[in-house]
Amino acid sequence: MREIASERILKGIIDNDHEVMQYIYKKYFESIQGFVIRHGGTRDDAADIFQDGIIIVYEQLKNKELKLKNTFHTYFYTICKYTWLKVLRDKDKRYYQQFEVSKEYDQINQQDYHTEIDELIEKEKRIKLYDANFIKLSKECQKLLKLVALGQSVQEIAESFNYKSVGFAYKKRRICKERLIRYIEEDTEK
Amino acid sequence: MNLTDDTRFQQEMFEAIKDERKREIRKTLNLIHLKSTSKKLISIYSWKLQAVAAAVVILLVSGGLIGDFFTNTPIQQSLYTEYFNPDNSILSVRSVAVVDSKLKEGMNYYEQGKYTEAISIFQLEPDNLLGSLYTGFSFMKLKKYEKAAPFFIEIIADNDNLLVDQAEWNLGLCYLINEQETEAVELFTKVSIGNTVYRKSASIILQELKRE
Repeated sequence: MREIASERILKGIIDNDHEVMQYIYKKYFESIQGFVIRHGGTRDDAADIFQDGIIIVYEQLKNKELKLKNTFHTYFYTICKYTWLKVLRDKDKRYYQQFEVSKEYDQINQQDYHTEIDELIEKEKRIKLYDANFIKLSKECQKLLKLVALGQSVQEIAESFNYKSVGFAYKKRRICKERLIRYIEEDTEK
Repeated sequence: MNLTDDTRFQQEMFEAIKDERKREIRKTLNLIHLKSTSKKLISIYSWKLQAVAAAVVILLVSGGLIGDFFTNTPIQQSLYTEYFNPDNSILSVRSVAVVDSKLKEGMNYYEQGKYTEAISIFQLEPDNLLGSLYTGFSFMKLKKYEKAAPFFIEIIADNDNLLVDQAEWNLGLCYLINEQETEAVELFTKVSIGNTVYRKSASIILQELKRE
């Protein structure tokens, strides 16, 4: 497999470059899977952790210029391992407490960007919740809320949906938003 | 939890809604994982499939049935029956963490053989290519090949996805069973010179069609 430099990998993630994504998967998935399975997880857990790891990198890139202190390899492994530890802490407290006193745990925990990763992991949890409930809405509501999110005015929304009045567009916007919030609240209470 | 008045929550929710790129990244990663799992399963299960095929041939030969089987069935029908097997895909989808609840619901119906229900669920999310692939499979299971074809064509037209191989192969089978031989030959020729797991099977089908 031809090596791809760290800078290109980062650019590939932000651009959703297929070739780069495939490279990252081929190069890193097996060992991340090994780590997750070794520490109480499954192949499906590993797929989730791998995906969340990429999304955390994407979020960091989206918000600022990311300067890697080490190679992408070290950086990405640390994110994935750390993310799994966070899952493990909630999933299997006993195992986590045993692991907490190990050398491997210390190595993972030595990195200095954990506060930021912690925030991103929490944010991703919330975003997954929004996404899972957003798709429960009707196509019309989904489209309408997308336009709202993109900053379109109610007047523009009324025109693109051919609504009879701006007042009706306001009403639809309120209904769709309330419906989404209700779904999210219900999901959180489960 | 009252989120209606929570400005930070609403800001974050709208930020999430407009981040199409993130959804695309998740989709790409899901497809890459799906394809990798699928390849592994094909190699794991291939010896079992070969063993089953060998057992069937022995039974047919010993029962003197092989001649009748092939002379009474049109070649297209027999090739279709032999090669239509989306089950490896089912296994791979099962093992992927399917986070999409509609897709999961549709897959449950599909696995229970409730293809009409599966189609109606998959079609609630028409942009989901995996859903399109399984809509195609469902129509094939219902023997509505003309209805299956557009879903495979849609996946092929999208081009930049990892389901194209399966879509091309199954579209070819739809053409074959529908007696659209020109289209079938064209597509299987393309598959036979490509670099997918279907390459060898496509060549065999082309040889069989020529022999006819």
